[in-house]
Amino acid sequence: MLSLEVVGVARGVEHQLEPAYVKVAYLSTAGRLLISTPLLVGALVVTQLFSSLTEMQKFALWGLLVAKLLFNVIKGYYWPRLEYRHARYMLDDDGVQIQRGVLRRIVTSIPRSRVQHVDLAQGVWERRYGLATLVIHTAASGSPETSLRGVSRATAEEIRNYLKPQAFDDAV
Amino acid sequence: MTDVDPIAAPADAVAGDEFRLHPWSILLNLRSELRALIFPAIAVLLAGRKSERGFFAQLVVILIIGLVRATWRYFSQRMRFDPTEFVIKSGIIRRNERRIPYARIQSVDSTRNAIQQMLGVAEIVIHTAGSAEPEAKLTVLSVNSVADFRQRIFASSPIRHADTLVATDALLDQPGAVATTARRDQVLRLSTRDLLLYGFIENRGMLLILGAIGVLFQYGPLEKMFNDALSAEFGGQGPLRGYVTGLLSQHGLAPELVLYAVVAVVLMLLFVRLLSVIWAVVRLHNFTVMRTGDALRVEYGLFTRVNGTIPLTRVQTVSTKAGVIHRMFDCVTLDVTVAQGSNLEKGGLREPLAPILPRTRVAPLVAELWPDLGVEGADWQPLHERAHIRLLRSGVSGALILGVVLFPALRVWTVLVFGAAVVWKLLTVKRVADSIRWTVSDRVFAVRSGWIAKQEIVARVQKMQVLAFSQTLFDRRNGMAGIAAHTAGGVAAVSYLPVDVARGLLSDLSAKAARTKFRL
Repeated sequence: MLSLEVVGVARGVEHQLEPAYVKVAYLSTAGRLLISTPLLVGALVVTQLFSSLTEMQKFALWGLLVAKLLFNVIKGYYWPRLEYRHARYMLDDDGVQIQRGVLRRIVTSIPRSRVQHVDLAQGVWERRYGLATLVIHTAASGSPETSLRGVSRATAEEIRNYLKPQAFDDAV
Repeated sequence: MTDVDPIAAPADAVAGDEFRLHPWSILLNLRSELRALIFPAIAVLLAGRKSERGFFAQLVVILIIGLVRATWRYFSQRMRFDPTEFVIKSGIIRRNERRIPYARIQSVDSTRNAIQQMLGVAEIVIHTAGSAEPEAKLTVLSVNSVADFRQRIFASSPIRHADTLVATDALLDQPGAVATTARRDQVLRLSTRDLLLYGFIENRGMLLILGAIGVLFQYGPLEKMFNDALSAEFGGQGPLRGYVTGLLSQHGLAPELVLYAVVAVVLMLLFVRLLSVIWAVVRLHNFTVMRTGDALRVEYGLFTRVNGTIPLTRVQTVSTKAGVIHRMFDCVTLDVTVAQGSNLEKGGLREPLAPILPRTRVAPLVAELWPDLGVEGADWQPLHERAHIRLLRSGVSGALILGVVLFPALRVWTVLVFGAAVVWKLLTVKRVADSIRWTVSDRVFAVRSGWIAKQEIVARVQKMQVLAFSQTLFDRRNGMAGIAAHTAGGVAAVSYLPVDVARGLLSDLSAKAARTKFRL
């Protein structure tokens, strides 16, 4: 069981995610694949038994399934590393900034006064490694939710507290 | 520590302050749990249609699964009234904790359907600012606790409650009440002539035709006639096909025939436009916008009268569009996006605030209604100097895709079409890139674009909720980035900015938005 030191999130500085994020991410993907693969295989078997397809088409479908599985496995293993490398978050006086994405890099900036409410979620693997996912909700119609995955639970709680509404925030 | 009454059903309070939903929610939520199971359920049922007993057994199994899920959900959901927030914990495998600050709650609604009334329970829906989706839906709590619930929430923010009430009053669709209490100033009125033009521009005739076909298909015999005619034509025996092939075999591809064909197509297109014009005149008959105090009141329609209210302070963005035909008549279409608070959003198709407006009237109108949104004399900034190359590349790839799609139909002609598209792009792309400009001030962030067809969007800094900086792979290679400012209504975005400019704009807008107080 990892023990993560709670030293507080330094303000005005960019932080990286927890290294454990990589492991948590691909373990979650593995778990999902473990469940979805039998279902997919079952569906494919049913389709092949009950429909009239040529041998060529059946072979092609199986080929597609194998290719998709291979792709998911490889991506599931390597993609989290890339995500980890390019993800950052920062707290400052204005609000919170979250940078994420591999192919398309996005920096989302949310002023403190605009935060509506915050979700803190933990999946099975996140609990095991002491991580959490923070989901910040705003009133934005285009992107109402912004998630920060791969921070320690303590960090997530601190950011959540930091984003609570302040007394002077709202105009009447 | 305040002693919290167990406001759920008796004996359900858990660990001091925490409480759960009413036990009846297990059964009452069964329906939504079953709905979540609908696809696997259908698959299983279809597969097991053979024996009646098997079918019945499978139905029971599905019901049991639904019950188990509902019970699981009931036990996993715990709630709590903290000093400043309402806390909802849910999930056992995947745990979620949602904290909703009282200061952010805009409304608490309760509804009771027939069954809920019989059982003495109610569903509570909590809305914060933002999406139409509720932030929390509590199905169900006992009726006694509902009033208690509301009281607790609004006790922490009386100002918020009053604000919601004031906003709601402005929305009450009571023409009599509003007319006597507030002066109405007419802001805009569209004549039939204006609507004729707008209908022509809109070109919704095609939608009408498709809609009519859809309606006709409701009637069996008509659908059959239609299908028969279609299959005859394609099968090579229909009368129309016979006529056309007869003509072709008699005259060959004579010039007169091509001329007739072209004329026929043009007449068809004009007919569709005519339909659109008539539709606009009927739909928007007597389009009037009036100002009553702090809100705009919009009315229109000949057969279906539509009434709506737009609170001026809830306007998030103001945008104008002017296409080719607009510009021929020196007009624009002006529209606004609004945060919750406009009852015009409901009912699907909403009309622009000013479907057609002379271009010279835009600035005075905006200055009168929203003085902080003026962009006259602003300092407009350009894109990256190589933005036109990016536009060219994306235009050419778009044309390529179009060419691939059309190839089966056009064959050799595809090359011609593709070539024409590329040449057009080459000639115009620099001018288009130069026409895209942006500007930022303490009050607004505005983007304008367009060479032949012009557009402009102005977003209020105070309404900005989230600022986003984004770079695709190609952006990174070219040293460019895009910025998007999300309000609670529309988005003002610009792409192909120089990276450092974009970064500067991100922090600038974040700081400016942070300096304004949150007011939806």
